[in-house]
Amino acid sequence: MESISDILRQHRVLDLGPLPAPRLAGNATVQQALQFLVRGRRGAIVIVEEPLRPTGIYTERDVLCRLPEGLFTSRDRRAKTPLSEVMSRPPVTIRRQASLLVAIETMSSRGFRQLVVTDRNGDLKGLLTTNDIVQYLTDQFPEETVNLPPRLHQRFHSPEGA
Amino acid sequence: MLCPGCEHENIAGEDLCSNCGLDLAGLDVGSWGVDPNDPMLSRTLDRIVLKEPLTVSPGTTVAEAIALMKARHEGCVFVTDEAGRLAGLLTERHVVVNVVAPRKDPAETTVGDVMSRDPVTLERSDPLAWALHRMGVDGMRHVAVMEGTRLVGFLSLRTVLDVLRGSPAGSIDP
Repeated sequence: MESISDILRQHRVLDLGPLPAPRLAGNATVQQALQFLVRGRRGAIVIVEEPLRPTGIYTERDVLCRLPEGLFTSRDRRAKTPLSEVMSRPPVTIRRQASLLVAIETMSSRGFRQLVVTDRNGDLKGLLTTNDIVQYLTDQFPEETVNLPPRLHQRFHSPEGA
Repeated sequence: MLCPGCEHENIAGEDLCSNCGLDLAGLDVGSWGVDPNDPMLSRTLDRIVLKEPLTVSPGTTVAEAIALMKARHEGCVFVTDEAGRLAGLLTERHVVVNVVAPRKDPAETTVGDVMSRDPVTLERSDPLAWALHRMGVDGMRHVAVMEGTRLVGFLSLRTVLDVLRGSPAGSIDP
């Protein structure tokens, strides 16, 4: 049994398992990026050069903050604007050997909810989100913690609680 | 399994890394899980500094809501009706999926058209473990925290992680 702070200090980003990273090349268009963001459900896209060299990141927040006004409604401009013009670069990265604590501290100090995960060569290995860390922790919660009714006054309407 | 030292991919069950010789024993056993006596699990939300929610009405335009989120560096706005009751939630993702992707004009679209209705809420008396569980299961980045029917704050995943790492900013000392 470990305390949550032990887990954060001792478990590493690579312990979380596969961390899918939707990726596009820098010459892909804003239109393609939007489709990837909608379908990817990861909150961000990693922009890569060569197959695995991360050069930028484009997040849902970037869409709101950086998208020039006309791009909101003009299909033509979306299809002509390359992602390299609107992405954040360089991306904030974390090595997959780093502890979860370092990951959280990096997110907190840099103000990012997503970090690009790399190996020691700087090659892209995944995309780490705040939600990945929370899911990893809750997967390890003792069963009784989440089976208890959250509120003492809570009553179920049927004996099975269904 | 992956060697934590050199990242060589070893056959499962290997005792030593076949590339660098690092001792791999025990690394693939996995965690025994979170100690149920960890006080962090039972800490209630009223012991945590909640963020003050940005609120708008359903008739606010999405363009105005985006401007507010940008100016205040937040990822969501809560939507309240005339009586002050929580009616919905608008997040960055809602805007991307329901406004930007289908090329709606944010100045012509109201928050009420694209927000999620009846958002999941938490009570101030809920333990952090329950909050984490709900946010983990539903994949939510922001949850409204209520005192009865009144919206008193919100919890973001970032706040939760700051509390868990022991940052003084997020906690009210016991």
